Amino acid sequence: MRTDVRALLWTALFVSLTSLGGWVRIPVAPVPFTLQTLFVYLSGDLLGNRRGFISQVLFLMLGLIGVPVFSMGGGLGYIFQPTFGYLLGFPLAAWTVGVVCQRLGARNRWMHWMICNTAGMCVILTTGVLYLAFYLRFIIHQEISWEKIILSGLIVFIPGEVVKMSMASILAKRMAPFFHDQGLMI
Amino acid sequence: MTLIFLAPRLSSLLVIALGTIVLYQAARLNTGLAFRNIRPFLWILILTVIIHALFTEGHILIRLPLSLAVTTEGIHAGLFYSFRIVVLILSAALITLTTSPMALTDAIERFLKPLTRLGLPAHEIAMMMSISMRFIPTLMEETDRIRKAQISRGSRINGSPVQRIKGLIPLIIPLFVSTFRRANDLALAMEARCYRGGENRTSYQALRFRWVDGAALGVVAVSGIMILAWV
Repeated sequence: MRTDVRALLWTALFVSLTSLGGWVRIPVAPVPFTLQTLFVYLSGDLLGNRRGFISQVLFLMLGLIGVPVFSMGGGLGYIFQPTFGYLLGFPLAAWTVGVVCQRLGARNRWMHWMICNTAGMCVILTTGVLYLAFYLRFIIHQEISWEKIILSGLIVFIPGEVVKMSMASILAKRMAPFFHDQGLMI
Repeated sequence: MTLIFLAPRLSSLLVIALGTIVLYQAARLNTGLAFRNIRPFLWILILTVIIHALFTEGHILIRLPLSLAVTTEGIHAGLFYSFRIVVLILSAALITLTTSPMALTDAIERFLKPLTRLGLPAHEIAMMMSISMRFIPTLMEETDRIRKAQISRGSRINGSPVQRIKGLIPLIIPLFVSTFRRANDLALAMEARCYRGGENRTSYQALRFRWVDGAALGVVAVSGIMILAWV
């Protein structure tokens, strides 16, 4: 089987772009705004479910083997950050975004990309909150009510994510034709 | 690490911590380096102690307003769980401090190789990891250059948060264009050198599993079982 070099390279470059997204940060209350999830959405939008998923898994692996690509560095110890769940959600989100795009059919509209990205956002936030709850219960050993966990782990992220989703949709709309011509999209 | 989760008592945790320190010494690692790894976790450790101190029932040490109270049991539990987190982090950091990301990438390739039969592209995964690692600094420089170019054209990258977020779009599109160019160049270069994936490809630095590695694995397994059984 011949390896598709271009697809391979784009998957790899999306890993670098996602890492880069963590470096661009704008301090806005209550959570800093970084571009990481923007590239998660874009990887699902532009590379499709399989490649998008692989690129985000690689991003996680890169961070865990010690390349400082996460917001607070990297290394295997990062699993014990309470916010690791959001990172775990990245590959799942890219996959979901890809699948939803495929199901919706090929129509290059802003709204269309927005629907795909919304599905991705739900996946990231759900994974993040579940991990946070797990972390509080089994690592810190404290029972904290679900309302508090959802408020501090989900609601506060929504405004920033909506902004990033709309940005990702604008970008996906402009770049999808290029990716289509290259035969990178399914 | 699984061991640390299973460790039920303070004494077994202490033994593991001692073992980790010995390993740090054996690897000739600076202790300061180890503590730099803990720093990002500092607030979560403090939070653990505070939450436990306030919400555990027991012998009351200090009474606080709003019917809160600090208990001795709470402080004990808080210190125990935050100590456990510290040991967890230190043992995890041991791998990344002693082994370079490139060596770990090679190890991942080796480790995933048996799964190639199930359709998992082990070689491609390692290849993509090295490529992306190599491109992070390049793309960082590129972003910086594009940012300066856009500022010189009058784009408002500094200003209120809303303006700055808006200013990101004219940053990302050129970034994608230049990434596009780089991907094409590299694809051309790889195809010109007849890159065909992992089949029969030899490596510059081959990894070998020697008896020392086996012995190390054995020692860890045996001491783990011993700690769980007796301490």
